[in-house]
Amino acid sequence: MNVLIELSQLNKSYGSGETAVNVLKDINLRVAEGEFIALMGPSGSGKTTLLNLIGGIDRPSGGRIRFRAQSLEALSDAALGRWRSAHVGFVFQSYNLLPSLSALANVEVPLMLTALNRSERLRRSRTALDLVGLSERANHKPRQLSGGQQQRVAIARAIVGGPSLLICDEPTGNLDREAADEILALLAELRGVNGVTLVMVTHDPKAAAYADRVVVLDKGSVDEPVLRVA
Amino acid sequence: MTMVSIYLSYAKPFRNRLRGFLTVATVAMVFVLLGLLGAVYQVFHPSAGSSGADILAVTSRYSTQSPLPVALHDTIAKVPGVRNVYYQSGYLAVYQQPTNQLILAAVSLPTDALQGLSLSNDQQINFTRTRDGILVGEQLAEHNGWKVGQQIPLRITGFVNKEGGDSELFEILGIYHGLTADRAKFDNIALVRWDYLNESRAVRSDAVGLFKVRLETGASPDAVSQAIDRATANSDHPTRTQTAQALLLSLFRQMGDLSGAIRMVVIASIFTLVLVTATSLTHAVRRRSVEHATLRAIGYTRSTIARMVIYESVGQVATGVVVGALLIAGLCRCLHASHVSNFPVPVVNLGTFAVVACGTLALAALAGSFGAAQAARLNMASALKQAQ
Repeated sequence: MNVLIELSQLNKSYGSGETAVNVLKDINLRVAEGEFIALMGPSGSGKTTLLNLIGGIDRPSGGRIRFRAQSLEALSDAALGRWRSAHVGFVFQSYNLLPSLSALANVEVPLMLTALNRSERLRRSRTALDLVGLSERANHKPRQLSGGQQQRVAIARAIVGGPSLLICDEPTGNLDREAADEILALLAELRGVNGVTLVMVTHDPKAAAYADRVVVLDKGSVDEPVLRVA
Repeated sequence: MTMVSIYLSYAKPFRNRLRGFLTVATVAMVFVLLGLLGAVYQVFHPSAGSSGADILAVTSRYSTQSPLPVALHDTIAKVPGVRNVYYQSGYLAVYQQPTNQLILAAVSLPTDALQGLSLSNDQQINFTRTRDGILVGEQLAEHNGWKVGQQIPLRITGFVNKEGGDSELFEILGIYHGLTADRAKFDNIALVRWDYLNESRAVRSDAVGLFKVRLETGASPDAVSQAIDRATANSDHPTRTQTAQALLLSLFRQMGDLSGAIRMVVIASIFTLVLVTATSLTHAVRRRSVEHATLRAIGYTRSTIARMVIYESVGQVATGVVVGALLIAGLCRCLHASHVSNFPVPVVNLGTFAVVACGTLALAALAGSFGAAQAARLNMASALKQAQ
């Protein structure tokens, strides 16, 4: 098993001194390449904080995060940004699309950071939209799309750069059951096609059922034993 | 990366159409104000490059509005260093309707007032031979539908002729336009002969508004000015001699220090512009914190996000500048066409446009920097949490 992410004695606290709040305490976790992990736990257990640390959005207060052989905690802001751009795709609960851009332009946004020319960027963006089944909605603005369609665009945006890791923060939290199932099926399908590693925060046991493994967080610690779903 | 920033920032300003429109309208109005004030300033304030430094203007020591006797001509002409002396008086005249007013400049013969005007030699000679001749600026002729050869009756304010009336009949000898920007100010006035008006009066006044003195080559304007004032010092009409530029400046100051007032309004407008744009942008940046955090998560750097905000500010203001420029151009054209004022209508030249536009855009960048700093300081994790 090739380890993609390794968390060692990871801590995260906010504030300092007596008012410090420890959100995550001594987290140890390994995620294999191509694995699909669901992070579950009650509200305030630190799921999103952990997800942000894994995705390089936030920095730990202590411990180590390794991506393949690379330590993330030592990277500068700019280097961490480049790392995210090269290796990570994000899918958010509220989609977080840029409302003034079309679906196609939204998907193109991550590629604007690369050296690709415009025609190649558009070609790859159309391919990604096609993969999520929205090629016919390429010129629609987000407000002209349903919630499920917007999340598909967000997934296309997340995968267009060919990331190794897909970070999904409650991707089905704002969707009805039918749309949620479609999105989860799509994520599972993408993993099969691209071999991408998925780390997903969810409250939904049905969503967690799509994962290979469920990691339950409780009060900032991984609640042992880790549940293995499949 | 810059092009990406520009592309993404241009996608934003008009997302909220009402807010975008109001911001652009505010900037446009400020720009119109700045442009108009700049133009008015340019019209009244003689620039360093404008003519007038080598011409002396002789007026009454007591007030620039007090007339001087034409007899002073010979006294002034005898002063060493003086090459030519001309004189002129200004009148307010009315054509047909009381509201249709125009400025009549009664000039001496010979005169230098015809220099820089598009008049042929024949027309200039004709003016010296025709006592009731009148030369009219193009704008004035166009506004009144006047043609060369036409006889026009003008009622002259404060003028009483031998019949006890205030109306005089003039024959249009030529229609001109100024050949330089400075002379274009004459395009909506009319020139008549001073001697004709003086002799048509019921009682000859023999009074002139001012004398214009051309100097010999190498003559010192200061020395000649002092000599003229010394020569008239013990007369009933002591004079004050200064360069034409200085006279314009003193007139300018007499208008309640209009220059200072204009500067104050300009500064206030600039502050308004900065505050409106900065306030609008900081609100917008706050509302878009999730978008900025998303872009940061995707890999965009703090500096790219900050640049986007500045480009957005500049883009929004640039739109306002273009709209303002079009508005002011239209406004000037309307004023030219309507002749609502007795004074030359200000023309905003390209120089004024360029200076105001560059200044405005620089201010837009400054205003944008407040929002840019706010966006650059954004905490990604906190901002993304807001979206949920």
